[in-house]
Amino acid sequence: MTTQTLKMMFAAAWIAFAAPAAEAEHSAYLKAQTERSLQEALANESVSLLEARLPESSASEQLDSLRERLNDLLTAGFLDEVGALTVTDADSDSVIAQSESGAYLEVDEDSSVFRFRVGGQTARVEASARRLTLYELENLAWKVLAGPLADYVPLSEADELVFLGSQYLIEDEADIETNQTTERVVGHIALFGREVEGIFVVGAGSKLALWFTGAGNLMGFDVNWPRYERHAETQATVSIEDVWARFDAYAEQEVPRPGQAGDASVSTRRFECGYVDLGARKRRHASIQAGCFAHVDGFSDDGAVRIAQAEVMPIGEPVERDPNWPATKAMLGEDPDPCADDAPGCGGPPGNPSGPAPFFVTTMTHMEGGWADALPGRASLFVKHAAQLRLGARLAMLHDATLTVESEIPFSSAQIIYGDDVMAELHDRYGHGVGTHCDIGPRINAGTGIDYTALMESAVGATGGPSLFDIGFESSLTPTFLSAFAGLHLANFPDELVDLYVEDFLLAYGFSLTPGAGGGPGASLGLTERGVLELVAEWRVRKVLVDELVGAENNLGCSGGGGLSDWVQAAELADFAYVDGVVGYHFLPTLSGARPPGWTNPAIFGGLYHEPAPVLLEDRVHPVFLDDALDLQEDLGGDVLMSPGSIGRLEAFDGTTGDLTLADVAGALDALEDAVAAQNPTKVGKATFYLPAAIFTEANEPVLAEFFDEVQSRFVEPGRASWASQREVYDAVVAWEEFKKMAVSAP
Amino acid sequence: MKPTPKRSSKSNFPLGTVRALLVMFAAASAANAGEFGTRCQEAYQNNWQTKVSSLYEICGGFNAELDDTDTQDFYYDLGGSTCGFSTCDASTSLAGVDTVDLFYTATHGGTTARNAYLTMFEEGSYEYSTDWRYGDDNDQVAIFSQYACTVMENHDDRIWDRWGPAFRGGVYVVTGSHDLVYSSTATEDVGRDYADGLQKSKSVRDAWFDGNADFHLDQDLAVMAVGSSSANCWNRVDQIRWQNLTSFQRLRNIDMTHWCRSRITR
Repeated sequence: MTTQTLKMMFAAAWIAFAAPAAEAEHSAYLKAQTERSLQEALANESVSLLEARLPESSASEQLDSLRERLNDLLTAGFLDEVGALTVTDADSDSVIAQSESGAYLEVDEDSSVFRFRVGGQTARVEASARRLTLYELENLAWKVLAGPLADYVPLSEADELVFLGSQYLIEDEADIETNQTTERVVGHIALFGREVEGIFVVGAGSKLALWFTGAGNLMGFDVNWPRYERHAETQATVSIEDVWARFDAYAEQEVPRPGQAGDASVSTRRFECGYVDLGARKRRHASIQAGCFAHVDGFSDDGAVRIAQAEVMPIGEPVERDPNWPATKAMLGEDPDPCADDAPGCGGPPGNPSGPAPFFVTTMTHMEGGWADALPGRASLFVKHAAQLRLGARLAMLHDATLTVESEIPFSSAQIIYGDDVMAELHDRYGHGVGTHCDIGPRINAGTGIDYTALMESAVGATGGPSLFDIGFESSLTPTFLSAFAGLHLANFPDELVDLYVEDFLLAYGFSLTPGAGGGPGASLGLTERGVLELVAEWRVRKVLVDELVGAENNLGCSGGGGLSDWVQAAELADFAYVDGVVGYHFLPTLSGARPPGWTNPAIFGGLYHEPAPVLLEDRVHPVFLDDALDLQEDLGGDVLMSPGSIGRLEAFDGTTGDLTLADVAGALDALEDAVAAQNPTKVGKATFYLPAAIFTEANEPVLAEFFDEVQSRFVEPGRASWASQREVYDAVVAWEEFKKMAVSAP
Repeated sequence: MKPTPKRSSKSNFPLGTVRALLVMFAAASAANAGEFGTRCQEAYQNNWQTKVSSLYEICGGFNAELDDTDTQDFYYDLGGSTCGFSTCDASTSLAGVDTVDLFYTATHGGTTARNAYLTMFEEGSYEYSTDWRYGDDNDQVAIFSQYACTVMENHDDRIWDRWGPAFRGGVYVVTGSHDLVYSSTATEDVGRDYADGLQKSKSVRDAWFDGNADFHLDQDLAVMAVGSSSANCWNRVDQIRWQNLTSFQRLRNIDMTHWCRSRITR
């Protein structure tokens, strides 16, 4: 009987009678390492340098030996049957044998490193509901270590096997519909390390993990257990003060002192000094020497990401050069970067993406401002529209297409009133785009006979607060805007939304919230009747509603909204990042010299108002950033993306706006060909089909499917274009602009 | 005296271009091998996030190992913001996730209630998981691997909100961390070891766990898949390998009824 076996037997016997320890992730031994190391590092003691000896047995020989030992473990009742392990891969690095049940046994080229696992299903049937405690786990592990695996974890007289704690293999799952998560503990992992002459070995080397099922059977092991040979040469170690000085000078990242938070709100969780063995690949080329291992984690300064950094610092005097340990080289005045010269195997830093700009196929579906979805007694209309969208969303998803649905006040309001989050469903479940429809048009009140005064009193009065008219409001709003309030009872809205809704409206118009302090729309700001802030107010009301439905982060765009005021500035002030659905109305604030020939205001009002714009296809397929609407030419560094691209209504490509037919699909594909051909490859390109909600019917499903499939096979699969939402186009243009800047500034 | 910083935060465009050409040449001569792409970021524009040391060694090791048996389509940084993730994901020249069978990335990660996210190079820029939909075409990405903290956590039972959109496209397996993974001299080999496990026909789960586990550092590793039933989901976790991807059906949209996740934790 060896000394090692005796040690293990005594340890196991002691554990068997000891009181169970409280469940914890790290053992008392490991925690004590941090306490001791923080106080004194290695207490200025001299240590013998070590050398890791490659085992005499080859990887294949070790594999054969371990296969026999697995049989012993099976016979001894430590292990369930795993089936025949057949060598499936053997190269210069390692050898692996696998069984049909998914078990495998793997031995590294350095055969002191090996691993075994039973198959996943084998372990799963013995899963448990709770984690074994440290006490239970350690007790199980010592029995295995004292028995069949003892030969594979050799210890010299100077060595000690030490228990480090536990990890667990957990499996959880859920039915997607119910989201009821269940969890089980499949593996209970006991971790061990080594002391050499009373000095702990830190790093991946000299580590041992024994995996157990919930029934206590062995389900695997990871062994990294070299033989160390002591050099006659010794190395002094520096004081804890000097250790910190070395971390300060040579660590790649800050290592905060205990109790201190670092620059990025990180702290040092573990701090262990001892021999440093960085694992099989690294230890081959240098002596094992003294060092301290700091485990630093926490949050970034902005709290957005977790930080987890480990710093390893040599603490010997003199430091031994280790080609795979950058800090040793830095302390000896060398370049610490092993890949500084792009050496073979290092890979070097990555490059940047490059190539032609992408082209996107998009759609628009407008839930219009003149609809009566929110009017009393018109719930059936809303239900019909919601059903159309759901049909379209599902069909598009099944055919890999992406839609974008943009909503005006009536449909947005109805979703809130009826508690049906159809737009959120489209975005979250089906991955389609969402946005705001700004269906306001220019301010030309043709007179609709609607009693706006009554409508506004009805709407705002429902909050119990003062009517807008009590504070000096005189309606000069567009009919479309006011009609959207028809039947809109704010009492039906959540309080939070009412606050936003009314307050946004009033503030944007320059009203004081104090009754009687107003003076007409925008009067206090000296605005003209068609001022930008009026546009902002109208857009904001629409945006707030859609924000409420889908989240502001997903609602970046306003579709439409062109008029006599500078809609670019209005978009920026209303917190819209892009404007799509660009038509003739968007040229109204543009200087005459920057307009297409013949696009005067009368011409626009007289018939061009809804024509796709810009006129030239090679201009229309390129979204551009703008500062203002004066010329609609790209303004470098502009704040709002004009995202046009309209190439037509899907059901109108056959020359009629009647039924959707295969002729429409053929025409649409031809138009898409023209749009793709018009792209300047240095700019992001885009084409938009208008798909009205009414097109999403069961009768139209075959033709819609044909359209989606043809776009997929002719444009997407060959890599000529990608489906995208309007929002995704915005993201891509931003990314492309950033990329171009980087490419220009790179050396 | 502090050593010279290991990397410039500025990317090396000419080198990337040369590498891209080499990759294109290699791709043309190895049509039958699996295709993979790698995007990693150690340092960030104007130091807007903490530098992650040793990530390029991790990624370089992964590339060097897997390149022995398979075809590397690109090795790029995470500049270019969202290009390649939520948009341009089908563009090889823009390092799109969906242009390869296996996509490997290493950077800072995080989560919100709705999203898992990866940190991009540009200041303030993240890539959000609910904007992802991977694997729509059978030739698109099958394995999406992230050496990034917390992207696969589920303490709030909302992991499906975060990852459902990506899985609905048909991607088979997503790997990452449910809490912390360390970057360090001590972890420089984790990319190489992961690739080695893939080459040896381990399941993607076992390759991820074995390659990244350390047993001195507390590495919080996770692997997630979907299935048409609970049993189907676990069967896919147990059986899906780099070499047998095509023998499994892509599950898209309503095909999947369960998600399942395996993780190693403290």
